[in-house]
Amino acid sequence: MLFNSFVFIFGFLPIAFVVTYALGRWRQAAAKLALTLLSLGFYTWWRPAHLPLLLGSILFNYFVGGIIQRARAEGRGRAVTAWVTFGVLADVALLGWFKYANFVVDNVNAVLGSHYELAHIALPLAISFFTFQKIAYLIDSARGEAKKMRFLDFALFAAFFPQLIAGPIVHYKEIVPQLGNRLWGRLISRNVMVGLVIFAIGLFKKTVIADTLSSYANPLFDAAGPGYHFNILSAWLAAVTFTLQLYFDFSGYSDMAIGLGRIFGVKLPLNFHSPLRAASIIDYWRRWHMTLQRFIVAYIFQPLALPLNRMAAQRGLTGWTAFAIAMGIPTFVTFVAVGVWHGAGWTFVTFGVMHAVYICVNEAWRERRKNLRRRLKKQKIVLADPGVGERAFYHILTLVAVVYGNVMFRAASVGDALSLWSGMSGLSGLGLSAPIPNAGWGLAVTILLGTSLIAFAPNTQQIMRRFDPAYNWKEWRDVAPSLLNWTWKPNAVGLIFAGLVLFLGIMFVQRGQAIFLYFNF
Amino acid sequence: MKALRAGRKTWAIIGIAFAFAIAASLLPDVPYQRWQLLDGTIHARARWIYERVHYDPTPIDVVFIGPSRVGAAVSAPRLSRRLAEAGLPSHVVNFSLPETGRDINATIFDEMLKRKQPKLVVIGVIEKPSRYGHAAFKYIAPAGDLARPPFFGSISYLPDLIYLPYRQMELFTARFMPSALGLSEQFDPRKYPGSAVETTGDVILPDGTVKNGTVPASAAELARGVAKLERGMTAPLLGPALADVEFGDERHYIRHIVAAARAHGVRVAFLALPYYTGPSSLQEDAFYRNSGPVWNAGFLASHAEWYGDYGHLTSTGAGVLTDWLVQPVSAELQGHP
Repeated sequence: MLFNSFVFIFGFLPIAFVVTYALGRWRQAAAKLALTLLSLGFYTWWRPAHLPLLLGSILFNYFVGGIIQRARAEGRGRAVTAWVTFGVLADVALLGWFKYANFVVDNVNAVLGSHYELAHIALPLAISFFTFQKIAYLIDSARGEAKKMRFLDFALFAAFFPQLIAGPIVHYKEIVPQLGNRLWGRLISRNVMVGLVIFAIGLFKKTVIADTLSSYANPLFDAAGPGYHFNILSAWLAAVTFTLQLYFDFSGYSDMAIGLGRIFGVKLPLNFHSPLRAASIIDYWRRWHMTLQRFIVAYIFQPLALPLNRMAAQRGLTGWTAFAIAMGIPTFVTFVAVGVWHGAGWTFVTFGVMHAVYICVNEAWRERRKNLRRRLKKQKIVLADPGVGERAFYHILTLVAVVYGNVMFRAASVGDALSLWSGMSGLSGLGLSAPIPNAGWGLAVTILLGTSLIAFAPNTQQIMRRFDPAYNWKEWRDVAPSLLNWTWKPNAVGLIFAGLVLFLGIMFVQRGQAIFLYFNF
Repeated sequence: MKALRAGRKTWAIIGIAFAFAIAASLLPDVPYQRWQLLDGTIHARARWIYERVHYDPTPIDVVFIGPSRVGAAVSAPRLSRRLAEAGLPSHVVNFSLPETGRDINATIFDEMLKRKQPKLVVIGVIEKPSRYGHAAFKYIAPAGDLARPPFFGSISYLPDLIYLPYRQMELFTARFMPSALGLSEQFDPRKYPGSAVETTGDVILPDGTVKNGTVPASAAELARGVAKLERGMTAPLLGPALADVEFGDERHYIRHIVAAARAHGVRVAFLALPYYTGPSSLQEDAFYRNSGPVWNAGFLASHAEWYGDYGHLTSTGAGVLTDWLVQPVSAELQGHP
């Protein structure tokens, strides 16, 4: 079921709301049970055949997590290691089978000239998201950060419908305490009001902006193929419209998830914080799909970087060699994992490699600036902060790097991406015609609206800052303030704003319920 | 500290959104653009229907309305020729649209009566009527027709109604920026397909592919199609007393068409078109006969060679059916005052 569908907005959501809160007045456990079952129904709506997989994953990880927690409590370190390894490998194997088996067999056949056959394996909805959530739970259990809980709490944590399909990828410590404390079931009206406004903003971003942009981006990317040459305008239009679409689509989805969570009394963590306003690629990744990044950093990058750093120090390595080992290797492994997480294909691998290179260049630049600052300090000279022009250059450079990367992310093949890059670079002609039906003012207005919102307007959590809009809002409330400083208040203007975005968001569902881009992952 | 009163404000947000929806529904539109909303779909003939009615001065004597079976079965140009040969020169049009749902036939008929004075309307009927309205109704029906509940228990009412504000916003925008929405402001005679459009034979689908309308389907294809159709059929659920609710779309809009026809002196007849091997009997036979003669083309059902798929005739089959229609249509035209 899609958040941007009438069956969800006018069917599932009101029913889930009434049932949960009506039962919550009686017993909190009954409300949790109802919400868990409703969440499983929400998942089943899409493809019932994959429900056993989700249920199996919940049962398996609850069971293994419990063993790990007991072993840790009893001080059996080797048992903890053994069980966490087993559990994580089982989760990764599940993900690997469904997501990568066909890709691996195809590539083995291509390289070896063999003819191994594997029937097409349908990708279960949200498997990447719920598997990562479970892996985090097992590792958190091993680290002592996840405590024993009742199965009902775990099942609701694992299946809670706002975050089930495409995140945010949540941790035990963020959700389970909220389900247990007295806040759940109190402040209902406030939570519903705030959640509704956040949901409305997300729906607007998705249906009004992202879906409009997709109608321009899709024909261009679909046109890519052998023999098709993009001129500079059409190539840049494809790249820019898709970048805007991707941002509004996924951040809109995340807003909806956060809003829905809030309606049910649960604050979810932020997933986006104006990433396209970042002035460096490192900052961009801190603010883009934030819950995936923290997972990757905590469970892949840091476990790799710490021993490699130690090894480089022990061997007395310095300069570029130390940088390559301590920073380069973990960055490449991490970002290839990020790329491959999105899908089984060489475009995603290349996307990951590109961002690994970007990050390494960015880190090297930072290192160089740090050294320069240190040297100048010895000479009692203070290195000035970048001026307006220099900062603008950093913003533009970051955006261009992201846009080139997104072309690889969206293209059907590496060849198609190269064709688009060729067009963007002006190598395939400087023509200014674009093969988009009914382009013109509509396209111009949509791009202008999208870029203006990104550049100048507050993001959703900044708009809702008075209401502590997300689980980790306090960490981000002073980061990247917008030029236009407007916060939502429940006064006449605020109510009209909320009513208008809710109305437009629902109305534009009528154009067709386009799935969220991240549903593919 | 001022109380938040969040509950009331939540209702206020929902109420304001609702008020915006009502305001948007009241936005004016250009009817010609409304009938263009189906361009690029299997219902693209809607634009021609509007142009035939409003921009083509050629009169209409006989009009066929109904689902795609009527489109594939009745060749309007051929019937015109045959009637002329029989000494009854008449302008025949086939205003059928694919898919079932009687509401859209009523909309088309109402639109036609604004400018034309036909002598005969022939309503295509099938073995079991639909319980739902037509998928394209919400695109071309006037705002008032969408806003008014047509009958108690209409399943299509709310899904159609919720489309209204969006449609009116789109059409209102199209008044000022028609090209941005791909809609024309003015009728272009150069693109007009003409007074008598052939609906039988090959069908050009929205993606540009052509569905061959001349070659009969294989026995296996026919069997597969018939089996699928019959799997989807269910007996009436609510019983005769509630037939006006369960089959409200059929009954309400047939009554509406018949009443409008009578008010304008138009004769009404029904044309029953069976699917391959389908029954000759009609679930609503008695209901139809209350309003006019039923011409049952049950003889088609046993002729596999006339079917391009389970329910649609090939051009050859259409030729047979069209020729068969000359006699009853002539009789009705001769009976017209």
